[in-house]
Amino acid sequence: MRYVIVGASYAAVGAVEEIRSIDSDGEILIVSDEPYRIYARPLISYYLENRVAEKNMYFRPDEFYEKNRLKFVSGKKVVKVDPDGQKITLDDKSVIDYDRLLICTGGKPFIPPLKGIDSKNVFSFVKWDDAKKIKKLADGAKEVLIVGGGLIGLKAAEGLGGLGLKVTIIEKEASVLPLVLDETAGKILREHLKDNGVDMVTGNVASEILADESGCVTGVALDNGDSHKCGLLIIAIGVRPNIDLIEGTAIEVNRGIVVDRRMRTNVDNIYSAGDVVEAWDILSGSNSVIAIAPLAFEQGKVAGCNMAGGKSAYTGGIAMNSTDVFNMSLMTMGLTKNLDESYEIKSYKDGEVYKKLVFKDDMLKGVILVGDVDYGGALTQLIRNQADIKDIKDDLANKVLGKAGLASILPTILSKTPVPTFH
Amino acid sequence: MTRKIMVLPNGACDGCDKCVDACGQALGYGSKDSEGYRAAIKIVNSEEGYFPVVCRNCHQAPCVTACMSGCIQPDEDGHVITDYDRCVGCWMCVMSCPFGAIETDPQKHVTVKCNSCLDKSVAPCVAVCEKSVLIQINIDEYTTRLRKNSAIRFINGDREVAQKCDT
Repeated sequence: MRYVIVGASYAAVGAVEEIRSIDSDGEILIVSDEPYRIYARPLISYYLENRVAEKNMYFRPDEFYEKNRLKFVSGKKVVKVDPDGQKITLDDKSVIDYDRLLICTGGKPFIPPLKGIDSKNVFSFVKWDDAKKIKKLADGAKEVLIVGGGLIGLKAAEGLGGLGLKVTIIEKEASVLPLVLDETAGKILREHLKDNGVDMVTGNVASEILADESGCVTGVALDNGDSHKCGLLIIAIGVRPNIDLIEGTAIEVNRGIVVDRRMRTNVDNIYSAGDVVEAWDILSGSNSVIAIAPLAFEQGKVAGCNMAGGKSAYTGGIAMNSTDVFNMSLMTMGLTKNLDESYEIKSYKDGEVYKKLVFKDDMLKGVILVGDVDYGGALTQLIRNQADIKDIKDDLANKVLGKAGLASILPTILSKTPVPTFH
Repeated sequence: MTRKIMVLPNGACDGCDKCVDACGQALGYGSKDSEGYRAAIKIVNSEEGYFPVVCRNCHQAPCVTACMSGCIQPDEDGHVITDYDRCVGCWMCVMSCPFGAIETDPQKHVTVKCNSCLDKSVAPCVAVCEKSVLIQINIDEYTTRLRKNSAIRFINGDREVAQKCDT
């Protein structure tokens, strides 16, 4: 049995560990288009800021490759998938046969077709190489513009701000993380960024990238006619599932590759997992793309188990994220904004601490935690299980949003959700 | 060796918090009044009694799955261990632990989670428990006790309790 895994990040590792727990003999081959062994992709902002050393960028130690007898092809791109012949073609024209194929190619940054977008010193911020290139230039550039205030833009801002550069984020909406933060949380974060030297220009979008005669970026023009100067530009307006390689195949794609609960595509022996898929979303009750590392790993495990002949079903995910920006911790889970009147919202704010709970039909649907995120996982558990919390709802809101705190109600929360396997 | 877990039988603890103090001291956070004080065990006073919030060394632990840097890994016995040198403080594990057993230390940018004190013969929290009810026990031994107690309760006629404990 030969397992071929395209893409080398969280889903790939989850799959490898699961495959090896079932099949110790089969051959496992990973193909990555990057020149590195599997590294922790979200750590690139920490690397940029010199908070994480090169050796600590790797998601698994070298022993991982020996122990699991992995064959690792790096720096090669898969250009074609042939489901009928069960083989893939790499960009060096070599062909690899597979018995089971896992496509976990993640996302690729969306680059808007703006005039001047090909100028020098314009970067995305999703790969280690992006961070390395930016780091080299960071000394010379004084002003940085970041187009897009999503998580990638935000972490880039933190990283570059930490290096002492003057950073400005250009965002169409009123603050950062506009997809998940409500107005109150957005304001807190915007203020916090300002206190840490990061400015925001909001309400307009970039219309042109400005460059000098040598082709180096000099600024960004906005659709209201304003322009802003920079010596380094980062484009972070989102990622799209990276599905170029399956073009021309019968693999079903909607927003991402469509998979069932066992992470199978509609084509025999081809599985998919991670940021490239559209998998079960508990809160919407349908498939959607939720591009976050923990779910990618979970999906990879499910795919790996099924690829190796085991039986495993993905329990589904919720949109969630957590981070820390200039020492402010932040967590969002589930549905947090653009909520109609059928949702009941309770919140608490004191200075830079903000907490919000979203309820509907006696279930917890969403959470925002800013400035105090401790024990947040218990709330995640309530959302993921869509636990009936009718009889504890008021108590939960009072404690989480009050002086007692989330910790004081942990035992009660646990009584409402299935205990994970731990014995 | 098998995995060890922390167990605090229901109704046995009186909430003196000495275990919490000892843990904070052992982790270098000083005493309870110190600024930024943290501990990897917390005792919550609930209606059902004092409840320990501490790492359960889950099999298939959600924090291991969620860890962005790869710094949380099970050891060969199944203890879930955080390598703090590699923790960047992204709080993904905090967001994923259903027990709420991982705290943040925003100042140091690392999490605070019980690593089972495997380098010590007796964990400091266990050593200071005045009522000797907080224990760190091998899972095999623990489940043996559970089965035995369940049988005893059944034999003694308390079938309802026995069934409750079994399910």
